[in-house]
Order: sequence, then structure tokens, then C-alpha cells
Amino acid sequence: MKSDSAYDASLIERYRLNLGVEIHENWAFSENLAAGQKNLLTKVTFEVLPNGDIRNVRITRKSGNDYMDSSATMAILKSSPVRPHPPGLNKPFIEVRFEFTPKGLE
Amino acid sequence: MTMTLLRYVDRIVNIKMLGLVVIVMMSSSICFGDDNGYITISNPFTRKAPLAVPLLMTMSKSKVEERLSAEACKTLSSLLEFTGYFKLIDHAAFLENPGVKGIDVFKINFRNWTMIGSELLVTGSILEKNGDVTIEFYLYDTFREQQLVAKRYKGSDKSIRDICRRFGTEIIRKFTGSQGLFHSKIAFVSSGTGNKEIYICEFDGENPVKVTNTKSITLSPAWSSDGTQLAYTSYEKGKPDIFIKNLGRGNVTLLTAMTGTNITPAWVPGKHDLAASLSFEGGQGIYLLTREGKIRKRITSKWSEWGIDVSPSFSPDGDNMAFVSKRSGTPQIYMQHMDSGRVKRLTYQGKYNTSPSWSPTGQKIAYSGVSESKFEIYVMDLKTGEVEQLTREAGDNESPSWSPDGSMIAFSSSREGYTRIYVMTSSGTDQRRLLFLSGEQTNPKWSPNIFNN
Repeated sequence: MKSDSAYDASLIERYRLNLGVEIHENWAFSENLAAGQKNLLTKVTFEVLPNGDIRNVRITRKSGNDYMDSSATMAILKSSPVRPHPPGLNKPFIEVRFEFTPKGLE
Repeated sequence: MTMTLLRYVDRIVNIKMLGLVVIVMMSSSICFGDDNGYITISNPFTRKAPLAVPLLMTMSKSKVEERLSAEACKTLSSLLEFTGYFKLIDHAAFLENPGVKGIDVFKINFRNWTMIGSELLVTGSILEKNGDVTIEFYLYDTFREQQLVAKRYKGSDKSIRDICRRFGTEIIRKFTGSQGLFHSKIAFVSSGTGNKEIYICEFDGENPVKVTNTKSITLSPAWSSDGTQLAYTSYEKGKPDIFIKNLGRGNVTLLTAMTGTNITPAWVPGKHDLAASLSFEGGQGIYLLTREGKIRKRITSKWSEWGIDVSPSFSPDGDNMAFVSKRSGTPQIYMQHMDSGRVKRLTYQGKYNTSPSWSPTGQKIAYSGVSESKFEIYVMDLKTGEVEQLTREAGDNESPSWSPDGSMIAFSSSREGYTRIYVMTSSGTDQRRLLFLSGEQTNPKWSPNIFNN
């Protein structure tokens, strides 16, 4: 009992990072199509059901470039269903918050 | 790849528990953001937008329409792929055929396209009657199930490529707001006939045509701002003089044949004036000339009796001119403000920097410079002064020239032995040979978009 919540938090944290890897692999973004705009940042939140289905994808901060926002949303939608919740975690859904930024483009 | 990354993330989390997370995670594309539990995803995994272009729907199901549908599909795909913006999805992966099922938003099962990773979808229809063609094209966002562009074109069965260029331009405009490059051409020098003559091809290397017949050495093509005239240097009178060809009428006029060497013309943006390097006063200086060849003024100052200033290239607004000068002892790139005459040296690295080309956005200058005894293409950001090397370890790379939208650069390269024309994106990716011709090709110059041809 002593560290159930701490254990769950650690599981969820690891789960979220692993989702980051899965979703990153589905992120396609052409800097040229964004008209070369720099310093773009899109923030997105969504929920993952126990079976890995993604729902309720919402942009919480627009980048100012529609294509950039769209590419971030697509990366998430394309990844659904993601891996199921970790075994032993009894949550109706996990909320995930990602911020996408193309920094590092050469 | 996936498994490696997953193990990597597992390790990141384990290490985080020991309090060492920051050091390891800095090198990843996924890390914790700085507020409210956001995880930062940087560095897109794929730098191109996945796009599907299936065959067009044939309205009267004729063999001619089937052939034109295939031609339109292939042409549009190749135009869009050329930009380096898109990754074309293989037809073998398609789960439905809009040519049969329907091309509008109600008939398309977008799930069939998202499942194969296509984020964008082009559908279309074609109707042919007695050589007249009507084509409808649509662009969809497959995840949002939204129509982004819808256009109808009329033309002949010979105008498929032109219709595809127009729709391709609409797609680029939808995303970038720019006119793209599908209506531009590239002039270059080729030695295929045994002489150096100027040729013009379309932006993607298609339809090369010889446009000079000097039977001598012809160099340095320069497009007028409206793309209707081409200035160049030719030795047809036994020494380098500057001529202008009217590309519409086909006639050639002599711009200047002053005593000495008359080389490297460049049109002043939006005007009928040209800058060129002339030597009638001794050294090679850059002068401003009218379209009729009258000298308006000397632009670069006479810094020595035998000084050399060549290769002018104007900023898009015409306020500044980049050029090459040996005033510091070696060829370096300078810029001069046209009104005040103020001069600033731009390049300091290396002993040989030449061929400046000012970007259409005005923010950058591409040039070639010698690095370890090879010419390489560099791009300088004029605001920060930062220099980026775009080519490396692949023969000599020279004469960069920007596409009219600033998204690509044409250049010559000897990476495959003979010098040929190559193109790359403005960030240096997707370098490939533009066209296959006999002889050597050099001196590419990208035209503005020419819409009424």
C-alpha cells in the first residue's frame, strides 16, 4: 500500500515517454511546407484508454501555422491504438500532454 | 529501430530515478518539457508530408481518358516529389481506388488512406471529348477528412503537364502562400555541340532546348525579372561581349562590346537596367547599363588600376548588390548599398569565394568557396552572419542559383566525373542530378516563375 501511487506514477511516466517514442515515429513534418517558419510549437493533450485507443485529442496551444498543428495532431491520430496501459494499472484513462517543436531541423 | 528506442526510453526513465535524467535525455527527440508535465517531441521523424496520388476517375471510360489519367497521375506525382516536400505513397499500398469508388468527400473512406499513413490525398476526374479535356482535382486532409483545394481545368489533351503544374502550384500555395517553382525554368551552359551554348529546360530538367547558336564560348546566362529576356556573355566576336536574347521573339541584340572584357551580366530587379563587369577603364569594374547598353554609372569604386570586381547579384528589392572582388588580395564576396555606395565584406573564411546568388527572400546569399582544394556550396544568413556548408566531399560544386520561391538551389557539380547540373533543397537535402545531356553543363540560372507562356 505504501507506495502504490508512487509506483503508479512511475509506471504512467514511463508509459507516457514510451508513447512519445511511438508517436514521434509517426510525426511527418516538412519545414518547407510550413513556409520555413521557425520556432513553431504546438501543444496537444489527449487521453489513452486501457486498450490503447486514443480519444479527445485537443490542441491546447496553436503554433500559428495550420500545417504544423495538423502534423502534430496527425502524428497522434496515426498512432492510435497505441500500446495498452501497463499491467496492474487500474485507470479508466491516462491523460498525455505533448508539445511538438521542429527545432533540430537542419 | 523501434525496439532500440524503446529500450532507450526505458533506460532514460530508470536513470531518471537515480537523478541523472537531464544529461541523457538532451540527445533524444523526446524529453520532458519545462511546464505542466508536457513531454517535448522535437525533430520530426520524417521530414516530408506523406501524400497519395491515385489515378483519376475517367468520366466516359474511354481508352484515351485512361491514358491521360495515367499521364496526369504520373506527372503530378513527379512534380510534387521534385519539391522535396512530399513522400509519395506507393500505389501498391492503396486500399481503395477513388477512380472507381468516387472522388468527393462523401465517397472517400478516409480511414483507408490514414491506415496506409497518407496524410494528404489528391483525387481527380478527367473528361476528354474530341481532344478537349476537363480535369477536376481535389486535395484532402485525410485525418480531418477535409477538402483543402478544389480546382477545375480545361485544356487540350496536350496540356496535361500544364494543368498539373497549375494544380501543383495551388497545393504549394495552400501550404506556403508562395507561388512555388512549377512555372520556372533553368538556363545553363552546355558543351554538347562542341561549343558552349546556352540551353533552357523546365524547373525539373524536362524539355531542354538550345537557345543560342554562337558557335563559340557562351557563358553567364541572366534572366530578366519577367523571364522574357536572357542576357549572356559570348565570345562570338572574338572576345567576351554581352548580348541579350528576347526569348519570345527570338532576336538577339548586342548590349555592350566595349574595349576589353565584358562579362557577368545581372538584371536589376523589376527594371530594364543591367549590371555587368567591364574592363574598358583598365581594371574589371561593375557598371550599371541601360537595356540599350548606355552606361549609367560605375557602381563599384576604382580601388586599383587593375582591380577585379565581377559577378553582381542583386537583393530582391534591388537596394543592394553582392559581388566578387579581389580588393583584399583574394576573391571574396562583398555587398554594396546601391544608393550610399557603402561596401561590406561578407566572406572571410577561405581564400576563394565566388558566384554569389541572393535568395528571393532576401535573407541569404549562396556562393561557392574552396575548401580543401574543392569548391563547395555555402549559404550565408545575412542577419546572423552564420555560414552553412551544403555540399561536401563530392567533386567541385559551383554556381549556386535559387529557385524563385527560395526552396531549392541549382548548382553544377563534378561529383560523377563530368560537370553536370544538380539541384537540392535550400537546406542541402535531396541532392540529385537535374538532367542527362551530352557534354558538360555549367552555370545554372533559375528563372522567375513565368506564368503566361
